[in-house]
Amino acid sequence: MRNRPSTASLDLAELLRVEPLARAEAVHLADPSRRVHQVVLAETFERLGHIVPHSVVVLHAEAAAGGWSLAAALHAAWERNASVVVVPRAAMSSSSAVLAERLGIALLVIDDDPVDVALTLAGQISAPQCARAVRVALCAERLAEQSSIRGVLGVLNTELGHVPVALTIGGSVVAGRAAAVRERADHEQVRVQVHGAGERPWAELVASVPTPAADLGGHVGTLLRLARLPLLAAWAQARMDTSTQVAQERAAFEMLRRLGSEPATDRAVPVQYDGAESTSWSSELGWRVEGVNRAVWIAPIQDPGSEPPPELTQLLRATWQRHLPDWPIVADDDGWISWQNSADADSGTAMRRGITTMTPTARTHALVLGVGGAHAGIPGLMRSVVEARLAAYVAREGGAGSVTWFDQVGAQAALAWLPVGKIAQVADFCLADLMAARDRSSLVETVLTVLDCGGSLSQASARLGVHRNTVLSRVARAKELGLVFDDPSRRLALHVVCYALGALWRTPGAERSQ
Amino acid sequence: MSIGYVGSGKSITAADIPALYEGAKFYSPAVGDASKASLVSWLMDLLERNGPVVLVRPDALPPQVHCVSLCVIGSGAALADLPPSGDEFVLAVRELEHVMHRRFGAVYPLAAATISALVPLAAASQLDVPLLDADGMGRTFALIHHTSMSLAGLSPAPLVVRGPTGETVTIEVRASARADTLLRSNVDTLGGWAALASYPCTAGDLRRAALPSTVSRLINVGRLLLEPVGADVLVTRLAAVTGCQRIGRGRIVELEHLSRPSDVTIPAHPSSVVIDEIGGQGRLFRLELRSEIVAVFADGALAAAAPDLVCLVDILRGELATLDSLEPGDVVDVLVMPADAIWYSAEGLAMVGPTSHGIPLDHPRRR
Amino acid sequence: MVANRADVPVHVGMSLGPDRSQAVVVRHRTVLGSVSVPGSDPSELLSGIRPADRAQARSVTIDISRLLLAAVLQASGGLSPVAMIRVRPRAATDLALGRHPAEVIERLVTRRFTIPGGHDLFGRELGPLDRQALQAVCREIERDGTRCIAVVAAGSQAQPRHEREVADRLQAVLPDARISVAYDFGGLGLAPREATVALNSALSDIAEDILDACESAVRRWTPGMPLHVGRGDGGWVTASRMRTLPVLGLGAADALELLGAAALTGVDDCRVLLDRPSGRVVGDVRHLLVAVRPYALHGLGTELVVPTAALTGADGVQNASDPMAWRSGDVPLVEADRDPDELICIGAAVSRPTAWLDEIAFIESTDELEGIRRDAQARATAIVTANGANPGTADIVEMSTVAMPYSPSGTVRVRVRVAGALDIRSRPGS
Repeated sequence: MRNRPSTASLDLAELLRVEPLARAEAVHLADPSRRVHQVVLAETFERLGHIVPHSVVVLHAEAAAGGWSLAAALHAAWERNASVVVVPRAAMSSSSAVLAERLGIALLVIDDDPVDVALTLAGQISAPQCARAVRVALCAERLAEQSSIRGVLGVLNTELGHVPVALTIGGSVVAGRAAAVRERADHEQVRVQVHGAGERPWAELVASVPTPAADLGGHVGTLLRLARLPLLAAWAQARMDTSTQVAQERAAFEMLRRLGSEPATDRAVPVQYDGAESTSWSSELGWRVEGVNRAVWIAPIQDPGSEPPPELTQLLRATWQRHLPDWPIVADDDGWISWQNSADADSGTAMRRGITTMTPTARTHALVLGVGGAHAGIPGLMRSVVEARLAAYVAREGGAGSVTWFDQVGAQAALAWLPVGKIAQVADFCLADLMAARDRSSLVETVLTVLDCGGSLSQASARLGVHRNTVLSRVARAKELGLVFDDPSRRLALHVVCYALGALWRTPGAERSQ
Repeated sequence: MSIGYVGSGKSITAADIPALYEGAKFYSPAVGDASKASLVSWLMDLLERNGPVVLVRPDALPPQVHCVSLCVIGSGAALADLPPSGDEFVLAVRELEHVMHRRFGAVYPLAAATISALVPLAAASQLDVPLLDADGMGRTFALIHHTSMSLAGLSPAPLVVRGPTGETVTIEVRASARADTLLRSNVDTLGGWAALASYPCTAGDLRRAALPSTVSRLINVGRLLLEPVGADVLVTRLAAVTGCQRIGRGRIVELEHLSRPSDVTIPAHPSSVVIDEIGGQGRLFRLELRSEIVAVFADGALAAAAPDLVCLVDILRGELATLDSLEPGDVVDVLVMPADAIWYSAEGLAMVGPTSHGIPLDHPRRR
Repeated sequence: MVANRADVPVHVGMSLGPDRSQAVVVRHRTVLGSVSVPGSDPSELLSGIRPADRAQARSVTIDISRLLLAAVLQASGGLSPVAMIRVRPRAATDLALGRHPAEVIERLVTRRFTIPGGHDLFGRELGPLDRQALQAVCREIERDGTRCIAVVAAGSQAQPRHEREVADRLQAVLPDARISVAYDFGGLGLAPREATVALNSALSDIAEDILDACESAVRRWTPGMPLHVGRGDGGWVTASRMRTLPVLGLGAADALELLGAAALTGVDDCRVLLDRPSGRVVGDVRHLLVAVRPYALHGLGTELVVPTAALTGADGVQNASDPMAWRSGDVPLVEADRDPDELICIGAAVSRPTAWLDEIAFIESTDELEGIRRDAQARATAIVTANGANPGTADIVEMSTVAMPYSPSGTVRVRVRVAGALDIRSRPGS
């Protein structure tokens, strides 16, 4: 890969991260990725006339005699394409800042002795690997101090400046700068796997290095590898914290459910609600249930058949903490519950705003949202939760990020509850011939449409966009393969099977955008 | 007392005084008009009473005629507030005559600019001697040994200062540079300004040592300045007569004080004026001030420097903007005029060039 | 536009002239009514204002500068003769330096005295005050009966001790004397300082008569109505302040005319062209305040240290559509084409209380400079409040500090201009 990664010349951003320039005030930073080849301690104006391109010019003595001398030095630096001018504070003036900007010359103000600064810089520039080693050590120290994933990524991004870094889990960015994962023409990506317990790949650190600075790749890789351990530690800590909290919240919600008299295990049947009082432990969690509640059910786009992974719960919690701190988020069964509480009947405006906030996250992580009606008190909340869940299942048809409001769903909600997968398995047994046929999908689609149209071939052909004769011949072939729907006693069952197969075979909505 | 002289001279009459005043201000546009009324009225009155003053070139006088330079040393503001009683200059000359046991047959301005260009005229009228059409600076420099006479090897001493307090100080020194240092503290005690009689020498000395025609040109420039023509026409005319050039036009955006280290030998602390160019290349001008404008930087590049004479013309008023009344927001033209050629010699630049003001850059006219 | 007309205060602007006087009623730059009468009777003018406008008016601002100027310029203008006292180390030895360069001042000054003493610009004493000479001057003035006395001491801007002692002594000897001192006006230059105090002294009687008439007229018109008097910098002071410093009123007509023309066009920053018998002149308005300078008053024949509108000949400026004129100032050029008297009144109605400070200070570091600037601001704010501004409404309009050329290192000239807010409080109880 890179033959001499550690001896590549330093850039301005790198110098700014170590002492002594780390203490300097950047009055104007034209281009932080400017290479720095040399340091010049300019005591006289004579010296300014001989600086070479890509120099750091440190002004001193006569050359730092006042506002005019800085103006003259900036001009000389501009003429000779220096990288940056470093000036003692005494010679700084506000008009010089304007001039630096106008000439596009980086200008740093120091309070330290310019001679010391120049000497230190000279050492750093002549041995970039040393400067980088110092940096790596400093960076490792800072990384170790971090106790959160965001903190770790923050250190990496500050350290690497114009090289964005992100942490991804299963391809989605969970922390850091999303620019890192974007494929860009003149950038190369550096990737480092992060393994969790049992060497199971857990996440990946991705950095996007601009090609002109690609010889930094080795250095970037070093830093990313250094970040692995602090990341895992932060993650474990967070998981410990959050799994406790998730369990606590889940228990609390179960208590609410009981208060709302909903049988905890029955997920489908609407129940009788009577008045119930909110409790102090729910408010300890920051939950508010008095007044009117409107619930959101967040579900993975595909029925996972079990609880979603705890990482996803963690991710949602993080999103909520950041964007919707007032809204609870509780893992429940195959999804998550959140709700919005208001003192009196709402029009749904606040909910729409909340939904707008959630949608990008939902889209990124292949989730759908269902919104329940607004009802009073704890029983009202429970009712809204059930409604939201129904709506969420319907939303799956719309693809990732789609949102369905219960008001718009009606009886169609019932279909959303069908265990499509299990019914499809039944089809394998009852309709083995059909399932073996290569054109099964078009046959099932045609029969389903005919049934949806109440048996009308012409309506079905119009809806499918094929000729009536085609419909006719497909129906005939389906019957041959066992899909005989003429018998009224079997028609409902076959209609359901066709619906389930159709739903299953339809491309999962993950890639379909709204 | 009257001196015969060879060749035709001119004379200055009361009617020339307003033009002389304006021209003198142009060649040292530092101080405002606070003393104008008193001085102009005094001079006009003198010339009306005593008749015109004869203006002669040094080579029009016999070479053995003793001459003495006169100037106002100290602050123009102090003189404005405490104008002369009227006898300071004459008595300074008389005291120097007494010290040197000789009579002076002519007076000349040490610096033919600012109020220092006017007072030798008053003294000439009072003493009834001719005024020489020559001076030692061609503008004003900060120190009394910054003269063409010094460059030619003449000494300012012995010299006499007389203040508005009625007190007189005589100084005899060997090293020219010491004279100014000894003078300054005395001037502060004398009320902030004083009449200075110095560089006693002969007309023959001045033929080679003084800058010629520097008094008569003031009247010519002053006549231009007195015509109300608007800034653009004025600048064009001044360029034609004085060789000045406009560097740029801009708005004053900042006044900085103590903007560079100062030493105590030169009066007035360093300050800077920052001007944002209007039109043109939109440059940022930086004017370095030390009593006069001593350097102009355009985007950091040295565009003009002492001994160039830099002055500002207030665009809205079509008149010179003096350095004691600049305000942020004023729109000005920056004009640069070359000084007399001797100031661009190596010795001249060492004495009054940018390096003497702590700006060790090559002079733009020498690059 | 203005949302609620009733909320926008109505102000009355008046200009008294020797031949004709005018008043206008203005609400937010809009003229509601205009009255003009021959002569200079403020009562007659005020009685011409409609009752409806009167009911809404919050203040009356009067320009008396035309009356003052007429009195100064008239050879036998009825101005009181002035005794001028200089305090400085030595008396002038030359006649021309002993008198004032301006004829208009010389006409006023009937007696001149010099008392040895005075300070330099930094307040250092140049010589002790000669108390014997002071005694002699007191006796002399007492004998000849001059009651208007002007005192100018060298360096009194920095150290007014000698000037105060002279004034106090005179006042003790002549309790009825009107004594003006240069310290009240600051500024630089003996001639402009002397002209300022001499005129202030000479104008005090006539100003008192005019202001008496104005005050009683306004009181009769609407009791409790605040009365402001226009000053040369385009602002105003209270009538009681104008009684003691009437010279501040000179030049108000010019400044207010500029302000009125700018106010009508609705732009806060512009150049205004005015027609004058001697030719056209041009002046600047910045942030709806007139650009002023000391020594700028035209038509008086002498310079004053108090700031007045900076008017210059407009020969270089052909007309409003001249691109040259635009380029040079990069602000719009406004031609004042309304009746000048009316513009003065409009300017008076929209003017604000102002104050001005022009001082010499000495600094050794940039921190010290900050201190000097803060100090000057605080003092200017105090003055504008004394001039009638509502406390807390004053803002620094202009501030400049420049190094004094050829003065000892560290000498700076500080100029501060402060303006208070236009009084928009509800009208005081009547």
